[in-house]
Amino acid sequence: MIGNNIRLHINNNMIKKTTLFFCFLVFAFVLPTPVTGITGVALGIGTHGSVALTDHPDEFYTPKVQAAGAVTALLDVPLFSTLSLGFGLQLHTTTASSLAGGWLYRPHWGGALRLSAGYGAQLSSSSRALQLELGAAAGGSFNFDLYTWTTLFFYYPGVFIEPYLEFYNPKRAKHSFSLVLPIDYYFRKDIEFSAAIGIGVVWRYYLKGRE
Amino acid sequence: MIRRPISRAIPALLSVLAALALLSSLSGCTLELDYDKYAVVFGISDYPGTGNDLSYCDEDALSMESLFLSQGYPASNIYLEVDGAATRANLEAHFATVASTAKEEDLFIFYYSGHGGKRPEDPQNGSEETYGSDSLGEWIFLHDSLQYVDPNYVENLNEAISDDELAALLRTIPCVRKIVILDACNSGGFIGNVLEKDGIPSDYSFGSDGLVTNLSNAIYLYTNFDGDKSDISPADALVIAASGEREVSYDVETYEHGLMTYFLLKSATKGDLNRDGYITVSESYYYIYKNINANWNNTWSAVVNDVLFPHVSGGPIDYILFTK
Repeated sequence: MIGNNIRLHINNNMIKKTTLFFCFLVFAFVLPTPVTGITGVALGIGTHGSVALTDHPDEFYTPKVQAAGAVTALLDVPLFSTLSLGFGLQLHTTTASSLAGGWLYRPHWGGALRLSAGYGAQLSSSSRALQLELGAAAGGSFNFDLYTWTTLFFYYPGVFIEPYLEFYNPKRAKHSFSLVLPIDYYFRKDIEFSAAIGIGVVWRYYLKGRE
Repeated sequence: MIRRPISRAIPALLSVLAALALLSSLSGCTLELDYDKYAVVFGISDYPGTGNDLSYCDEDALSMESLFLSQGYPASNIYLEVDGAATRANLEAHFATVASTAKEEDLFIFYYSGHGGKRPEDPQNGSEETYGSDSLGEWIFLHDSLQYVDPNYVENLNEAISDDELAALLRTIPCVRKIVILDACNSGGFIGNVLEKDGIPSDYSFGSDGLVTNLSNAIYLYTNFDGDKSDISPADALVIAASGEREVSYDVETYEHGLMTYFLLKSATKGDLNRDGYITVSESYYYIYKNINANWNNTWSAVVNDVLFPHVSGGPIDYILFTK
């Protein structure tokens, strides 16, 4: 059924192809596994490092990479049986780009409110000693930053998708660790393109434990 | 089954990220700054008559010229005018010369030390707008703009340069990277930030805005941004200004320089905050900001009963101002 649907809808539109590919991944790898979902409210803290790519609308300024890092405090609230809502308060920093050409993309730091919806499913390969859950969270971010070495505040929203692989021991079901791959896209009005991809870890504490 | 691929993938992914970050930082170590540098430097201590004279603005300009020479600027690319020669006609002539010779990739700096002030944008029509609104323009008073007609002092704004006029002159310069440094009263009003809320208000003596105000104003600027520019926008030039839009600046006898210029000069050797051998506009600004706060606001302000802060342009791009 899924394969037929894909064949019926594929055309040259890149957006449709991307959407279908994402759906294919979800249906192919997640649905066949037993769904567990979030089983209770969870608090967490995570950190990640990323590489950001920035491109200015003026062609003189070529795209450059910037290193970035963040620490995020999380609150996950279950929604229905398989979804969760995530609330994150983040502190983040982005370093200056290289000075090649005598100019750089400014470093900045600040905070963000991150709201997301997550979907996860237990992998069939999980063992009794180590349960694995594969999922992804997607949402929006509201970022308030300050250019480093200045007193200039600025705001920019963003969207993100954060695939994760969560590890937890059923015997200690109140704790879990996740490997996350956050991908952020930022809507900066003075920047042509601003996005970051990173890798990080999250520790969660489930108030009532997991199933 | 799933653990082995992950155990291989994580180090690989981390390595790629680390390599990219390292590449990003290391590329700053092998800089080839292959561009020409131009500077127009104006300083006026001696205005017509004696009532408007300042003490160290000409010294400021001469010291800046020496600094630019030590930074590798060719003498032929530095256009210095002090006192009676620092006129609007000469300013426009030097801008025209640079406009005809400089290239897109070159760096252009305009430095000014002298009187500044707030006056109507349109002096012919004598705007009635209130003090403190941005509709009152900021001006730098070049030599002939403050005339002495015995026994009176008369302003001639046709010989001064307003913020919008300076922005228009800057747009004639083909260099993408332009820096304006103004050691003058009310010079913060030359800065035309469009997406940034400055946490330091235009008159610091009334205190700072709170965090919530700064954040809400930043959101307002983002949501209402329509691409319009006024004053000198970050796209026109990065500006370092000695004082807020509603503040005065000072000549300081102890320093034998303008307050901001004294620390600007020192920032060329002491302002390398990240120790990479280069001082950017932001680094220089922060050095000035920190030292004015420590040495003026927390010391001399008790004597002169005034506090002030320098201001800087926003925007996502920064430039190398000095090489250590």
